Parts: sequence; C-alpha cells; structure tokens
Amino acid sequence: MLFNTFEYLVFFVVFFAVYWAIPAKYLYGQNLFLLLASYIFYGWWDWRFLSLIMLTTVTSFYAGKWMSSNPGQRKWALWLTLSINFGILIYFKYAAFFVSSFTASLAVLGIDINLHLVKLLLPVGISFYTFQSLSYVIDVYRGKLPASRNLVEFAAFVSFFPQLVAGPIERAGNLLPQIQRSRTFNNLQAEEGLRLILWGLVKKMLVADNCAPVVEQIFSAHQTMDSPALWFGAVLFAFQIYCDFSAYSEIAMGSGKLLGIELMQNFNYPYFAKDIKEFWKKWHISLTTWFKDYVFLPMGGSRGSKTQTIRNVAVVFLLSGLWHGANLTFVVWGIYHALLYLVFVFMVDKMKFRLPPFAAMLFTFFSVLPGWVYFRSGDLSQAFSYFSGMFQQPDDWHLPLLDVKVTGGLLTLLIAEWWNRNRLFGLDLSCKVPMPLRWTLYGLLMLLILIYGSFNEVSFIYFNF
Amino acid sequence: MNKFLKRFFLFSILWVGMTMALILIANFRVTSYPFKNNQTESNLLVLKEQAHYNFLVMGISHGRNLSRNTHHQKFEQVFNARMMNLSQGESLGGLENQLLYLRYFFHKNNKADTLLFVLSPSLMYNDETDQSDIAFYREPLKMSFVRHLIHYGGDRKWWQLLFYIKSKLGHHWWTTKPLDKKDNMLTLSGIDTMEMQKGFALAYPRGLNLKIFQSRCQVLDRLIREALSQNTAVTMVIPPAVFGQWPGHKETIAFLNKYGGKVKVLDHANAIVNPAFYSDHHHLNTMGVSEYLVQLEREIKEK
Repeated sequence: MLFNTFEYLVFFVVFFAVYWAIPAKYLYGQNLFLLLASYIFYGWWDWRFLSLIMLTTVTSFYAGKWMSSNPGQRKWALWLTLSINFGILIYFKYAAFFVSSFTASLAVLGIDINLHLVKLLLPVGISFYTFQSLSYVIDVYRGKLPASRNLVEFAAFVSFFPQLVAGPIERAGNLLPQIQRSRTFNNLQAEEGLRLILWGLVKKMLVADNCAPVVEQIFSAHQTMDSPALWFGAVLFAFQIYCDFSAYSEIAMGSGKLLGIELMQNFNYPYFAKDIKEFWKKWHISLTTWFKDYVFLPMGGSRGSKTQTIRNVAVVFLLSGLWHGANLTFVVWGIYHALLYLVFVFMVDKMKFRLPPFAAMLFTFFSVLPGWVYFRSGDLSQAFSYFSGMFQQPDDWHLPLLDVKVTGGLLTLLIAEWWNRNRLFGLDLSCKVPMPLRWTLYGLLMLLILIYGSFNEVSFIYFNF
Repeated sequence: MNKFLKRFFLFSILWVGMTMALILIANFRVTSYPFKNNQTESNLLVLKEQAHYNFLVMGISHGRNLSRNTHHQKFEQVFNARMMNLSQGESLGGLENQLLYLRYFFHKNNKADTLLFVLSPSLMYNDETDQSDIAFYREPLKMSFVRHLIHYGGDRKWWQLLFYIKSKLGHHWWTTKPLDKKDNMLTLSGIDTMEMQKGFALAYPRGLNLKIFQSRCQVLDRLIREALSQNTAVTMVIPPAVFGQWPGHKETIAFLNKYGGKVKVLDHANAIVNPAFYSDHHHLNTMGVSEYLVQLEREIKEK
C-alpha cells in the first residue's frame, strides 16, 4: 500500500476515524488497534513476511525483558538478538550477493564451485524495522532505556505503519514513550500533519515521479548520449531520489502527527549543505545517527589516531552503502562518500580558504553527483560507462527536452525549500500567515498535483532497501 | 477535533467547488468553438444528436487520417456522402475504446448507413491502448459521456474517468481550438527498416500474442454485432502501408472472413506501395489519401 494511492487514503481515513473514536483511557485498545492496522498495512504487500516482523519483534522484546531481569546475562541476550536479527537480514538481503561474490572470487583463483541459491523476495522495509528493533535492544543493554513490559506496545513501536517500510528509523527513546502514554488530539499538530502530507505528495508526485521517466530514459540509453545529457540525468536523479525519499519521510511524519505521534526529522535540506560533513548531517538523518551512535562512536569515533578515524569513517560509509542493498554499486557509493568525507575533514576543513556560501552549496551538490551515478546504475559496468561518458568531449550540446511538469516541479521545490530552509519542511507555514493566503497556497499546490502530478502510483525508491 | 474536521471539510468543499468551476470554464471556452470533424482529433466535440451519416469511419490513426488535414472534405467529395469520423489516433485508440464510442454514437440516436472500420492488424494484438488512462484527454467534459464511461468502461474506467476530468485543467485543453486545414505534403524518402522495427515494437508491445488476439476478436465481434443491430452495414478495411502487410495480417483476415456476407472485407494492405504517397511508413499524405479514396470508393461500390 503506497502513500500516493487511493488505497492508502481509504485505509488512513478509516483508521483515523476508529483510532480517535477509541477513548484515550483505553490506551491498550488504541495500541492494539494501531498494531492490527500496521500489520494489515504491512501484510498488504505480502502477508507471509509478517512472520519475519513478528519474529524480530518477539526476540527483541524478550531480549529486552531478559536483560532487564538478568543483568549478568545481558551480553548473551544482546548477542543472541543481534545474531537472529542480522541473520534474518543477511539471509534475505545479502545471502545471494555474498555467495555469488564468493564464487566469483574463487573462480578468479581457478576454483569453480556451483552453489545454487534460491533467489528470495526481499521483504519490504526489512532494513528499517530491523535497525529500529536493534536500537531498542542496544539501548536497553546500555541501560539507556528501560525494557518494555508490554508486548502490544512494543510491537506497535516496531511496526508503526507510517514509518514502517521506509523510515525514519525511529529510536525507541523517542517513539516508544509516545506509544506508552495516552494521546490526545491536537488541532495544530494535525494541521501541521496535513501540511507535511501535502508537501510530501508535491515532492513525490510532482517532482520525483515526473523526473523518473526522464532519468530512466537517460540511464538506459546512456551509451548513445553526450556528456551534457549525462550530467543532466545525474542532476535529475539527485532531485528524484531526494524528493522520493524525503517525501516518504514527510508523509510518514504527517501521518504520525495526525495520530498524535511525533516522528524524527529525516532530511534537513541536504542540497543546501555547504560541505560534505554538513550534507551528512542533513541527509537520511535517522540512518546516519544510527550508524554514528551504534557503530562509529563505539569504535572510538574520531577521538583516536588519524588512522583509527579513517578506519572508523570508512567502516561506517561501507556499512551505509551495504545497508542500501546487496550490490557493488552501493559499496562504491559508500567508499566514494567515505573519501569525500575524509578529504574534507583532513584537508579542506583545515584550510583557511572558504568558498562563498552559494558556491559552496553548488560545489557540495556537484561533488555528491558521481555517487548518485553509482547508486542509480544497475551494475558497476553501467556505472563506469555512464561516469566516463560524463567527462567526454560532447558532439552534441543539446539537453533532453524538459516538459513543463519537470521544470515547474523543480522550481516549486527549490523556491519553497529555499524560502523555508530554516524551518522543518518546505510548506512549514507560520501561523502569522493569514488563513486565506495559506488556504490559497494549499489549493494551488493541490491543483498543481492534480494537473501535472504523476498518478501512475510509482513505488518509492527506498522500498527496495 | 471538531474544529479541525470543520476546517478540513470547509477547505475540501471550497477546493472541489473552485476546481469544478475552473473545469467548467475551461470546458465552456473550448466547446463554444464551432469545430468540424477535420479541425480536431476529438470525437465528442463534433458528435451531434439524432444525425444521419452515410459513413461512420472508425479505427486508430489510419482511420483518423481520413479526416485529418483536408482529407475529410476529400472523402465527402469522392464518396458524395456525409461522413462522421470517430477514430482515435496518437496511440490512444483501441477496440474497447472504439466500442465505447460506437455505443455512445447510437446512444445519442445517431444513424449511419455504413460503418467503415479501418482495421489496422496491430489493433488485434494490442490491448494496452484500450487501457490508456489518457484515452479521453481531448474530449470535452460531458456528463452523458461520464455516465456512459462508468456504465460501459473497462477495467481502467475509474482511472480513465479521473484523467478525463482532470485533463480539462491542462495547458493543452486551454489552448485547444480548431486546427488549420492544410494539406499534408510530407513525403517518405524511402523505407527505413530500423524505423519500421521500432514502429512494430510500439504497435505490438507483447508481440503476436495469441491470447490477446483472441480477446481482441471477442471485442471486435461485439463491435460488429453492435453496428449490425443498429442496421448499419459493416465494411472492414485493412489500410495500406508502404511495407504491405502488417504482422498478424493473415490471422486478422481469416477472422474477418468468418462473417461471410455479413461483413465486407477490403484488404488494401498492398494497395499503395509508392513511398511518395506516404508521410511515414504507414500514414498516407494528402496525395496518397486522394489516390486511395478513389480506389476505396470504387471497391465499395463494386462490392
């Protein structure tokens, strides 16, 4: 069930009505209903994968309880839970990749082995809910969080449907207490939720999904295209993936607000970042902070020697690349960002010279572009071929023709987000703006979606991860 | 919560109301033009009620081409008859959509002596254009057609309805006006095999799929029966192409021949092979249409 469908609209309206009809004093009933709805939402794709999310939920819940009541055996419980959760993730997401990479490596050495592996369907959102559950278990292990005593509450936290399949990857410390306490409807919060949903739909249907066919056309026929068109394709993809992913996060946040729950901000205008370090503070914040808290800092962060810092940064970016999927293109994407980051931290940041802010933004934007080429390409050979084409002398300076939908969508995005760059999201309007003006703006945006938006129900890119 | 819901509903009602008003204004603006069949690719802009035509032409772009440019007048002159063209070009037409238009034509109490269906064999192997969501984007908003679509539409009818209604807000609709009537002087320089293959790939997205062919035969059968039930004679024409026969030509002819004397079949695949008469590999230019109409008229009379 995609956010940009009538199915979701009907589902959400029905859910919203029943959810708030349950009196706040029956918190257990409200959470039970939330859990049931989340499982229906998830099972809509493939009900068989519900067993996986249930397994992750049950193991994490009982591990937390066990750690709480048996402090001496915390480590065992932690390792067991990590093994089970990572085991499921690796089996479904990486097994085929690791086995094929292993056999390919042996083939280079002249050893041929035939390992047949069943190609498995990737359960939607597995990386997101696995990381969310693990953050809970690790926090309980560290004593930062009390163990949950109620399975329904905990299961509702793991499977909270607005952010279940593509994040933000919530921390138990933020989401679980909100599920554990009774919620009351707040008009201002709900109105902000609707604005977030509207802005998410603008980004998804007006920008991302209209860019998608142009990007597809350029990437699939890149060998026949000249460098200006290839640069153009990479730029469009940069906007496509940003709008696609941040739209999901914003619709999730908006849906959460309508239910009285605040989710964390996942994007903070990353393309307005003035350097790569700032970019990584603004892009996919929930995953970046997850890796920072549970991988980078435990490894020593940047407190050790230069070599240790380089190692820690490299490990985090490599894992971040692999998190996206079992493909060498993601690994290269991770390595590329690690290099960018290290060059910045150890060289550029130490120089006194600073680019003017706008030039720095442009420089940062164009420095992340090659990474997106690897991210978008089907395999390394396509990525190399595309990438080398970007730097060849062009015979033809023509760019693919942009229609009014793509240009208009991009302009709307850039103007709104630049205007609101110090606020939560592009349509984050202050209450000082008179109501008629706000309503006119909402109406115009809805008209733009109706006229120029893509109604093809294109899936979100991050569902694949 | 009450305050939130009240404001939400008030906003929704205002927005829907203003959007509908915009749609109606745009619709009124376009429908106030006096369109003729050769001045638009839209069917509903020219379709009247209780009218009588000697010929009703249907099909995809090859049928529409008989009304494009100056061809409509040429047709009526050569045949000395009144013609209505309900073909759908630009990859929007399909048998399901054509059946929908035919039923609507009769529903509006129109009469036609002969249905001249220009049956491009690719129609028998392509069910994708039938489901095109934007199939009716050129049509004016008519409540009777909305009801007709809801009643007779196929699996994608709700999507088609959504796109039909929202298309009235698009830039293309605001700029719709009667087209200029000029001859099509484009000439095909020669046969380009690569280009032809590309065209075939688009026209036959799933190749020569037997299942699709069988399902298309059923739709075509319904269409023929619908026309015959209204006392309209049916003539099926395989249109000319510079390369002669389209893939699936023989199967299409074999199916049509099953109707015996009930349906006239004119196989014109090889009728015109001179590239000078074409603007592309399978669309006749004005010179080609003039040449072809004479032949078509003669054969219809002979049969």
